[in-house]
Amino acid sequence: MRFVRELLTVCAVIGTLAAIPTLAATDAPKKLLAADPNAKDLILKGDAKCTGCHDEADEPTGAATMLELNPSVLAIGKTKHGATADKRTPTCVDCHGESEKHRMHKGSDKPPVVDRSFRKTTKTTADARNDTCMTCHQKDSKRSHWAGSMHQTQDVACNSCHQVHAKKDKVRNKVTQAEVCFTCHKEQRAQYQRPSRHPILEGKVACSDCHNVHGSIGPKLVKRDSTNETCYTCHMEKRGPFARPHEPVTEDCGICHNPHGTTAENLLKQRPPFLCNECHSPHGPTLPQLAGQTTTPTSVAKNGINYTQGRGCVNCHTQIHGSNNPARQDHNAGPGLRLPTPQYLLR
Amino acid sequence: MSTHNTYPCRQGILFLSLAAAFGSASAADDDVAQMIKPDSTISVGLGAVSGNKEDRAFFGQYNGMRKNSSQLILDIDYLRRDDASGTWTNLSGRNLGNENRELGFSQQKQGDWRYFFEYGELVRNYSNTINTNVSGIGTNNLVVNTVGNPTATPTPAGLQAAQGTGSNEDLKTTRKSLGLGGDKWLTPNLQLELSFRNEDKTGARLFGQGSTCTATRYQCTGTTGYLLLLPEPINSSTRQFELKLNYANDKLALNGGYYGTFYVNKYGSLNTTIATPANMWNPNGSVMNATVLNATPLMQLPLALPPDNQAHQFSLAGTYAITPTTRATFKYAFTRLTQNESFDGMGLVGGPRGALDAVIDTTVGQVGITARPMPKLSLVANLRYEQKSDKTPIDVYRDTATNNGLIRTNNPSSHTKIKGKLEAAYQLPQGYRATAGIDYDMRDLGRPTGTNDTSGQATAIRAKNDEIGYRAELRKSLSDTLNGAVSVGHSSRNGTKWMTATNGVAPTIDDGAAQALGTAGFGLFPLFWMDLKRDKLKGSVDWAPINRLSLQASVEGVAEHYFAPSMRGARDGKTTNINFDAAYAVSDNWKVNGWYSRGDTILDINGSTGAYMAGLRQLGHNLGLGVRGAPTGKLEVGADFTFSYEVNRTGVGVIGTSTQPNGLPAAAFRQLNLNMFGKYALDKNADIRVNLVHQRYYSNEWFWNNNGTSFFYSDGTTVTQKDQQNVTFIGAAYIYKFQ
Repeated sequence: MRFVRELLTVCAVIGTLAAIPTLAATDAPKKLLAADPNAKDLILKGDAKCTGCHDEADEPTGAATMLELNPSVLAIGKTKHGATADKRTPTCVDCHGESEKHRMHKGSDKPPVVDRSFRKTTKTTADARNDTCMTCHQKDSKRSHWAGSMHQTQDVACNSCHQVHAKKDKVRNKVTQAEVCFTCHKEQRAQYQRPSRHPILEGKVACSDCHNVHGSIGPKLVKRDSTNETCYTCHMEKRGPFARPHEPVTEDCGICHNPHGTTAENLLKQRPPFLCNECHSPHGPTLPQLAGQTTTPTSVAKNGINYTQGRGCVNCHTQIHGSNNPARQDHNAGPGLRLPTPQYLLR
Repeated sequence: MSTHNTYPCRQGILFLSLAAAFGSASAADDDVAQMIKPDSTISVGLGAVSGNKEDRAFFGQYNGMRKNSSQLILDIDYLRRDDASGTWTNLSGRNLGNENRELGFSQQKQGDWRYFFEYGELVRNYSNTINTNVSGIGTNNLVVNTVGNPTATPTPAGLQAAQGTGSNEDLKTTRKSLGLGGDKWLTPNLQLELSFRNEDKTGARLFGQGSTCTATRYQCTGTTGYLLLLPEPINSSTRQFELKLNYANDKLALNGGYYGTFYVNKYGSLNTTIATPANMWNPNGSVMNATVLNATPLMQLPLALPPDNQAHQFSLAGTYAITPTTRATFKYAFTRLTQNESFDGMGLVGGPRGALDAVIDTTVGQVGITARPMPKLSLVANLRYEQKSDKTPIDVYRDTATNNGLIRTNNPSSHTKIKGKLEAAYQLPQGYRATAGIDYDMRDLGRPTGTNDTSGQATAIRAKNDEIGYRAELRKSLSDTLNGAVSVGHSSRNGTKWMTATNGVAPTIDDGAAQALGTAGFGLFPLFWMDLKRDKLKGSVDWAPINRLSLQASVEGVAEHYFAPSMRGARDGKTTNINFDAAYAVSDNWKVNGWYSRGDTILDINGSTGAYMAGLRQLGHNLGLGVRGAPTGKLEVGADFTFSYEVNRTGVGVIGTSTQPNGLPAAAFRQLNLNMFGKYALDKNADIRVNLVHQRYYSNEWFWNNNGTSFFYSDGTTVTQKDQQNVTFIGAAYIYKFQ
């Protein structure tokens, strides 16, 4: 019994001594545990050399989390980069480099920067940062055309858009993705405020639904091989082919439409008749007019009001994307065959 | 000394010591576990919005709140990782309480396999209201009844008084999609990917028809014209199927695959019955008697709807590291697009054959090289080739052989396109980086294979265009906190000689005739074929003068000049964009940001004889302000304010002999949004969040109404939108968090 008491007393003393660092953590200067060979990995195998300092005491809480003023380190554990069962999962030094000078720094002044830094003020080039990520992510078929793509040649780094340590990467969520793209694409940010637009702001369509930002052979990094093929994934009714096509439609949807937002309806770059009059002569000597402007409205269909108001030219030329109506005009035939005129995209 | 009295005290000290040591270690482990384990949340709440459906026409376009003034807020994001196997399970649902819900389930063993199911709905509510007596909307059989009674009140006043006396219809389109797929690593280097997506689309959208009708044209008994607004019925499915085999080793990544897309439309044509042909409206308020005029058969002819079509694409793409500093990318794709829906099956008669039998084969090839031959020099070269072969059979679609002896066919159009790019970037001393590039774009449509491609459609056409552009950029990293760039570019587009139409035979290359058409005043040459000169200038700066403040500014200008044989058509265009952004961390608990954008686009158009000239201008201002803060450890608040103002001017002026009054009023659009939220942490696992949104929208568009005078269709249909729409939304949700 006496032996048991003495044993328990010794344990108590050891336990108390072990608790002192934990209890006094906020008071004592941080000790460099990196040199401690017994430091425990927190998330990834071998991360103790980093998490010895960058541990839970460093983690942002409350406001700092929302305001993103100090990025979290440990939150990477919540992501695919924290799945240790996957043998491919990198550890800290695989991305940031061995960084011996940073890890072995002694003193209270700021330590040297790590070998590969991903902060905004980093001196690590975009290519060097991207090479780090591409060590693993080059295999993905969606990134096969990264080299030579617009973002790559413009020195956009992977971490310019991706938050690797964050528990939720904003750019990979449809609701918050556009906000990240708008950091650079200010013109589109303004266009999405216009009344005719895709539902980007509602998070139903994302920039990545049309663009492969990692590289594409289509223009403006569109996902498919051309602008039209990309639009057809949702608007396949416009693909035809039609018995009576409209050539600018088959050429490029972007000739008439701005998919990011317009004030004219149906994402049209310009309102009728002006859009159509960029290629087609107006119907004779008539000005674009509005109902109520002229004192002598005409009963003829081809008048300035009908060109301008309503659906404009498309009031009559309704099959603006093309028509599969095969009927032929024949002035001499009987009823049923004489009247269709679909060749002017009228029906 | 007896130990009996001191033992409890020692025990107490003992237990406290042990608790201090191992209890605190356990608490620390729990803290770390919470920081590194994936999180899940469920949100449940209610939201309510003010006003009626006219007030919410703009606000409720895509968020399910056009008609519903309250909604259930229900979101789920369940995420679980099995640390032993690396298997993820995710169940996510968003907007489950309204008509734009999304639900997805997936499982993934990281580095091995993955499968997923997705379901989504999207409703688009057309923001205007149709007032009409057309019935059968949403089907392909419409019956047109006149709004008002022209015979009783055949005057402009009578026409205006009829406004709004029909039934109000709100058009919408609903998309419901179902997707499933998965992937599996067959070997460490070989992956198989499969996906399938089906989207059903239903509803109705703006559509219609109109025509002039005279004794010599379409055999009316007199001269008349009509316009009808006939909503297009939508009932179709879009299916996409993709299969890919991906191979990757240290140097080579290759992916080959099949992508099949299928469009199926339930309806082939839209049929119209005019119920009151003798009692319709002319635009001047008088009666249009379509029966007497013999216009009814014309009005009741079927309208074609989009035909079924299919496309199959086979592709091979990849990248190869030739050396550690030189990489090649490549792609080859072959696509066959077909459309062979029976005309009779679509309800369309009078054609020369049973179906179009369209076949279009498109071949695309791309090859690119990026290299860093020296540490400071980067090179990029890229070439893209596209060949489209339109193998659609040629037949007589325009006119029958008995029609004045003219035979006009359809016009299958093939093309060849080549795009190339060369670029070099060099790291200069003192932090400068210079980039220079050349871009080439060629489009060759060849001579039309059908007959009379241009008659009545375009003044002239061109076989080939090519555009070559030069650009240069200088970028400077001025310090750790200051970066800037300036770039300039110039491109010019030219083409082969213009081709003009000649009746009944294929167009001929006749530049002189095209010139004559232009100078005679009739000719207006298509914009995308005209010669063009384009100049671009852009500057940007990014500055963080102190750690907590960042500033960005950019200015961009583009000027375009168009050239054609004619003085008519588009002449000059100009675009400028100016942007400012600022973000400031006021303290550790508060952050503010602001931005301003100005966009200005101008296009001058010179119309043809007797028509108009226009100086089209779109000027937009956009402003955003935001604040985020945490007044207490448990409370987070935020607000975003955005303001948009855009004015569209046409600058229309009279030329020639037009006798009508000129000028169109400017159309303005203004929007103000205030979006505020507050989130309070009830405890470690629960928050409560409140959102307040206020939107003020104003538009004075004249598409459908000019200063109280409505634009009418021949059956009296009108379209309206409330000019001023103010909406307030408030929602509250309980958020439960767990791991």
